[in-house]
Amino acid sequence: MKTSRYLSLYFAEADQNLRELDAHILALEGAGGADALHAAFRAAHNLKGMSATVGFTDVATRAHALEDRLDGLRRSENLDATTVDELLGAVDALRAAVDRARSEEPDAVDETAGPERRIGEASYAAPDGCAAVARVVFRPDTPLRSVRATLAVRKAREVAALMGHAPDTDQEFDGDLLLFLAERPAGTTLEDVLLGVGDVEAVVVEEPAIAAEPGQDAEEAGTYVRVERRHVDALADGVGALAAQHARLAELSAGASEEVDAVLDGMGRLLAGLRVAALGVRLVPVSEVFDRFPRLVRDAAQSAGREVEFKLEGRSIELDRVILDELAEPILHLLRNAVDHGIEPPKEREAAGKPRRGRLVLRARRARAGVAIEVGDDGRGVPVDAVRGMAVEAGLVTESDAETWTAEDVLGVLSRPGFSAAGGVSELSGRGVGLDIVMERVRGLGGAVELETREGRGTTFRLRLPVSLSAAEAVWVRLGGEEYAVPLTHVVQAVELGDGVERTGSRLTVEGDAYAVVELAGVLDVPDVGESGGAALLVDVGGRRAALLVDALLGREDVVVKELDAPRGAHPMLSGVTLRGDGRPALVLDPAAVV
Amino acid sequence: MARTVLICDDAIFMRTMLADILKQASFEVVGEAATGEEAVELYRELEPDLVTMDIIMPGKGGIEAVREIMEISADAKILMCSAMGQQALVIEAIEAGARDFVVKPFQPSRVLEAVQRVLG
Repeated sequence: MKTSRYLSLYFAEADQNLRELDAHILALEGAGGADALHAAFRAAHNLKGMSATVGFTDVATRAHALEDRLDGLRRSENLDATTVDELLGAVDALRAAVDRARSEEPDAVDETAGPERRIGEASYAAPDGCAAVARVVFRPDTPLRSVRATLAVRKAREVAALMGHAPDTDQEFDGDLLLFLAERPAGTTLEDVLLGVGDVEAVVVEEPAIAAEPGQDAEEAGTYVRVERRHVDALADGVGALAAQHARLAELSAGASEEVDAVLDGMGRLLAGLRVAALGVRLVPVSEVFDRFPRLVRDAAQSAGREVEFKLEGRSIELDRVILDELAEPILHLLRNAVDHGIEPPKEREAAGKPRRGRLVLRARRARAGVAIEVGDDGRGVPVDAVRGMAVEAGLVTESDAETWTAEDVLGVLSRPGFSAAGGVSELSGRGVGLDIVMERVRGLGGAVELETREGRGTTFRLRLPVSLSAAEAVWVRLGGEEYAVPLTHVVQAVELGDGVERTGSRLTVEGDAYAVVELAGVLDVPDVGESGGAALLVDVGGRRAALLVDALLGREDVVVKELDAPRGAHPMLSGVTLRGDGRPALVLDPAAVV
Repeated sequence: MARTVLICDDAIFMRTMLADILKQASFEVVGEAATGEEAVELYRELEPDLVTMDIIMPGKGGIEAVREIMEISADAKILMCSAMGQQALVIEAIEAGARDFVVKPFQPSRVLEAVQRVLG
């Protein structure tokens, strides 16, 4: 927990440093001069130091190189546009390295859904004479899984007749380790030994898979089973409810006897495995939807007279089928916009010193407690100043507000229904039309949209989404005497007030970072029961950060969320209901509605 | 009697962090080594219950130190400290006799779990 707090701090600071690098390096072209150079140098230096400390060596090495480069420039006079471009390119590479570190760091991996797993995963060929297969399920955040698996194989060999294993442990892999056994193990010795290996969540001994029919494609033979969705939903819901009952039983019998504890532990491990399997059934790789885009992009590019190099990344990342289906349309919309308006015609690109072919990337990656889907182009970017001017003209913001604009504000204005059409921003930015619909759809799925744009260099839209709609890891909080669940999708950290977490007026300062305070008690109009705001949830919704004040933190637990048919007038923050362990219903709060 | 530990890492930051974690679990840190040579020498002298060993250290590295310590005592209980991406080296260390490993950045709970496995 402590380390994950360090890490969230690290990434917050790293992002800050990257933003500073961008800004100061851009200022070099203007009147920034020596001050900007020094400020950029410091940002690179800080990032290097921090990254080395937490062990992100790739980031540290790149930051070091940039630091050296900037240091060298301090002694030279010639700073032309090419140099600035090169420096910005180095910052981009650095940002990519930070993003890679972010998606690799343990906390970013979703712990509820085991997104890598699916029943009947990659079919495997058990050797002839194999009598049983021991499936070793690792904790989702297991570091160096291949090494852990190597240990498991060695230990298993000491107590069982091992014929082989899959996958190959020479390389990193995701998912389970399969041990092929010559005899069905008697007793629980093998399981006990494997559970003692470390990072092992469950061990399941199963029948060897039936080998594929000769001549039949192995993938077709064993990988997918068609199941009606309602059966799958019932399974997932049932497992969720069972887990809640298990938690309740553990609570009631706490300290009763060692035997009871041992049984509960065993049940917990089985449930963990079952939950992974049940959720896994609903997960499908994004490739199911992504793979139809290359053709559509090619057609769109042809009719718009653009040359586009389109890349798909992260095709094997998995998402709840319901979410993925809902996303197809918004993603297509973003891709079309990028082709039509983001990427310039080839001649214009050449004139600007860019390659004729524009680059367009559709990328899925795991991020925080969910998945991020990015649509990025290297086109003309959003002219932030022009958008700002139009927003002021249209009376959407005052001039003084507009001075401190961030990418989120730009996105907010671009996605105003009708704004783009009325102001002609669509042609200018190529971003307006339909963006409101994209944002609405993503929010409806419990996600958020983020925008990164640099004029002349390109635009990236990032859709942050939960992996699964129905089951979510949530933090329980108390507010006005009632208990509420808040899904972790947007929650960065939960803190108690005091001891380094200080509130001054409407700001909460946590380890140097300021968050705008949202008093949930006031927002939801709950009765005052004399326990005002002793704790806060720090949330980040599409880049907007806030501290939601609650009375107390009660702990983390998985919840199965039922969508709420909210009565008219109910607060939009009440997004669903769930059951507590003892069967009492409780409300689910969606931070996105108030931040 | 408190169990004794020898911490081997060339970074003071890492040694301090490990020492803090282990002290809280009532270990007595009897020695700290910053090179493989020191690690072997201090092991011979102190015969600690547990050794934590960084892989990359100046001079004689962690893996060579594991080999030499295992020659001094085949019962030595060594926990490797690795960074992400050092799979092959960790496996080499385990083949040389190390009992388990933890991965930086350290999470105290994971370090203590691994220590339990090594000593258990």
